[in-house]
Amino acid sequence: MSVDVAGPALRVQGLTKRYPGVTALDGVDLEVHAGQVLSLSGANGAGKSTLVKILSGAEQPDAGHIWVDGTEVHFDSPHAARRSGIYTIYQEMSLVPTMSVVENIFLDDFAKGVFVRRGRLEKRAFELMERLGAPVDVRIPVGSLPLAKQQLVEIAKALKSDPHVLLLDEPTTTLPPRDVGGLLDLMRALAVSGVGLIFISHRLDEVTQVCDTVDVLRDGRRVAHFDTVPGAHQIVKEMVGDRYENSLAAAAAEGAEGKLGGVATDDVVLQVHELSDGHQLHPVSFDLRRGEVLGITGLLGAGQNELAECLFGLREVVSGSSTIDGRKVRVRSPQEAIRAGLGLIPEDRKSQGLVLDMSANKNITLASLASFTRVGLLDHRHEVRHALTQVDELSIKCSSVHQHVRTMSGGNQQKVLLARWLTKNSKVLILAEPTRGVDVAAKEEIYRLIRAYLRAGGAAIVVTSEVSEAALCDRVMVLSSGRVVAEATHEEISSKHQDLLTHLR
Amino acid sequence: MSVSSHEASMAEDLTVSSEPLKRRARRGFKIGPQGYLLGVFILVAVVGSFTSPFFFTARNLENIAVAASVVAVLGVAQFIVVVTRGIDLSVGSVAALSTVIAAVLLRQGHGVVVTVVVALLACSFAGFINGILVVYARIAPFVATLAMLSIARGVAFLVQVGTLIVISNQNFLSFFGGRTATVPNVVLIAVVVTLVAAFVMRFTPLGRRLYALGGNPEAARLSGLPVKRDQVMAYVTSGMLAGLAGLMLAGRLSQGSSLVGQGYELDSIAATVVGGTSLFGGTGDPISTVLGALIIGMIGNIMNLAGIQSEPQLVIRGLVILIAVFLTSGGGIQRIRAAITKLRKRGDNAVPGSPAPVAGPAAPASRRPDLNEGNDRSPARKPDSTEGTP
Repeated sequence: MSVDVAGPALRVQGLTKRYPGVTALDGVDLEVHAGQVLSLSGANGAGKSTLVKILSGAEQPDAGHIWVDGTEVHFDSPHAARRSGIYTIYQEMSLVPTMSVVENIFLDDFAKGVFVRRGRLEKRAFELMERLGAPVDVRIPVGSLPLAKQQLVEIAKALKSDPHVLLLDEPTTTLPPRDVGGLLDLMRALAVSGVGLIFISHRLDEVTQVCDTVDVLRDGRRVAHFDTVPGAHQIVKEMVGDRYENSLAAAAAEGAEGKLGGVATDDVVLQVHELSDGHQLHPVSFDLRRGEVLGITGLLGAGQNELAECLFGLREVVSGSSTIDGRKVRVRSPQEAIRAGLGLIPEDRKSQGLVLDMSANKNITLASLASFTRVGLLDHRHEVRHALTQVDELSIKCSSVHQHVRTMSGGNQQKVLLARWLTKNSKVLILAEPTRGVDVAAKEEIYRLIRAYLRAGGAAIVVTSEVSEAALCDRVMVLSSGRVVAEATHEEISSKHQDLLTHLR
Repeated sequence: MSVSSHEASMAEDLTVSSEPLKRRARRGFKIGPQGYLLGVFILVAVVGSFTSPFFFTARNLENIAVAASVVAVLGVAQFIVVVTRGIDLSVGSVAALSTVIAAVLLRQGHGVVVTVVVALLACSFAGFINGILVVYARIAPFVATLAMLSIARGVAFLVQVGTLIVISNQNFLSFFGGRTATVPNVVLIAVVVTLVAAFVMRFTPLGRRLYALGGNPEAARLSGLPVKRDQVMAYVTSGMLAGLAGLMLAGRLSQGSSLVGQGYELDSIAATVVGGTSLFGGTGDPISTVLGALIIGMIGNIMNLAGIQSEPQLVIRGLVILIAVFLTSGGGIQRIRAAITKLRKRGDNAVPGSPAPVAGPAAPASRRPDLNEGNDRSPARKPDSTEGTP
């Protein structure tokens, strides 16, 4: 690998990109040196993804210059960007699951030439994978590999062309938590081998762990540059600016005290008794009170998702019972769960929650069509009027209630889902990973909404893989191998949430 | 992404007092797919009037309407399934089955009402089987209805015993072949079917549920909608409408035959996609579908008037369908516009010393950049783009 030790591997100066009505990037400068990991942090809408799009060749800047290893480069396609030495790895992998590892790694080479020297390619593919610490059989389909290995295939695909700069756009979001450490180690190793890395992640602990320098974007400008790694709270402060004061999200980032609930009453809404699917979930019992938020946490596959699925009728329950408001309920389908007074905000709001090409108001009323029906017909006016009040109450940002949710930002999409259950008057809301993939500011907003929901007399169950998020709840249940291994109130855990961590296995 | 067609037609006059609320209640005015569809419709009509002086005569327009009415009803049947992400390849065969059942019953001396009811029930049952196969046996709609295509035509052949059965019941013939106030009854039936379907899709919870189910089945299920029941309902409705189309055919041809309606499944799909409905489900509306059927019908008529032989007609028809879909799916115009901008930009850059263009209008104005950071994928990695209708 040729490394120019003197200059930066990537230098960007005065990068500007304007869209009609918005300046997405406003004269951004940045530098990445070979052997360094640069973190690019910023809230949603700060300009990160525009920068990624430009550096990956998907879009062209309106002004500004880019140098790779001291040579100014221009490119107008992803292919050209790669040829210039900048390789981007996206959050969602661009692999063909049915094709083999070697075919995936050399996919773009298949575009040229007629004959493929399979033996040689296989050898090279294996060498690349070995270098990444994963000597897998390169002839098996990529889809049969675990997610973390698939990502290594993606990285091998990048390394094949000896990039000067590797841009990783939220590579850890889709990974199971136990594999994140390995990826971060690999990033360090790649840096040592002379590549300049740009790392984008919402998880600040990862940023502080792996990066050498940190740049923070806000409103299209670079507002801060740290030559040494700052504390997570400093990064958050720069990301959100003056909105930082008293922020719960910041509290979660620092692992400090902070409280999501605090309005619990003595009135039990949901009583779960010995609920089990006879398989992955051992009998679980708990009570939930009006105004209370219960955090359920555990490692991936510890049973927290199964518990949520059992409650909402998505998974067959073989034993146990639930009682809502003193009435025994049988929940065998989402329909019955909703009728009983439950609501679910699924983990993946786009693929499981929203009808993206429907308007906001139709998404809001989707679970309560009956109450917007008069003599068998939908009352459009009533629907729109109702949606308008929800938009106002939750301060959903949209051009109109008829805007398709596809074009709304992640935080606002989440709010539309919440509005759906507020409309349905759900008594208990189950939120699966409510803040995954959203930035600090949107996180704060979501916490605010949960709190508002609790104040209004609702009760919530937050299923989360982040201990610090669970610790914000009134009560926390820790699951491991489908069993409840620890239970604590907010007061007991807030000061010492390390104790909770010891139960996670 | 432009406003989906069923929305574009809505124009609610809201009487909300507060000003910001009013602003957000208003729809932006944009030319949706329906606008382009109407444009194509008019364009084809203009071409027709230039092609032959006979085109704009009452007699010819009636011919077009009568010929298109069967395809229109089948198109509506197809639409109702396509909107749920399905496809119904059996509509043509089921229509043929309907003609045969009607002919047999009439020959046995049954009345028109009994005949119509039994034929429609039998065809609904065929649709019900389709629905069960798709929803409960989890067979892909394409495969399940392909099997039904074969089965229904086979059953029709077995029932008719022989080549065809002539229908001589005058009541039946005058109902499906007659006129009411100078308008052919089949045209009236098609109009009623279209309007009822459009009404159901827009104003009833069932219609809303079908759109939601097609747009995102998982979201519909997690919102507590009866997804399976609705999906079966869509196939049953499709079967019933195919049966109705069969009765219309039987009335026009005065016969029941297992050989009629061949290729109608493809005509109905063509009408649906020309009408701007995405085969990925969740979009479109019945009226656009019928406009699609009319456009295809007019093109056939114009080519007949121009004396074009039937083989080149097929080629032209295929090309026109492609062009119409390219325009009505909404992506076409934007893509052309973007390409022009890009070319112009490249031309500017070629001039040395010329200033860089300020704002790149290449991005469609409706797309708000960077607000959905982290979720929005760049075009290069957006395999699930629903912009283009296949």
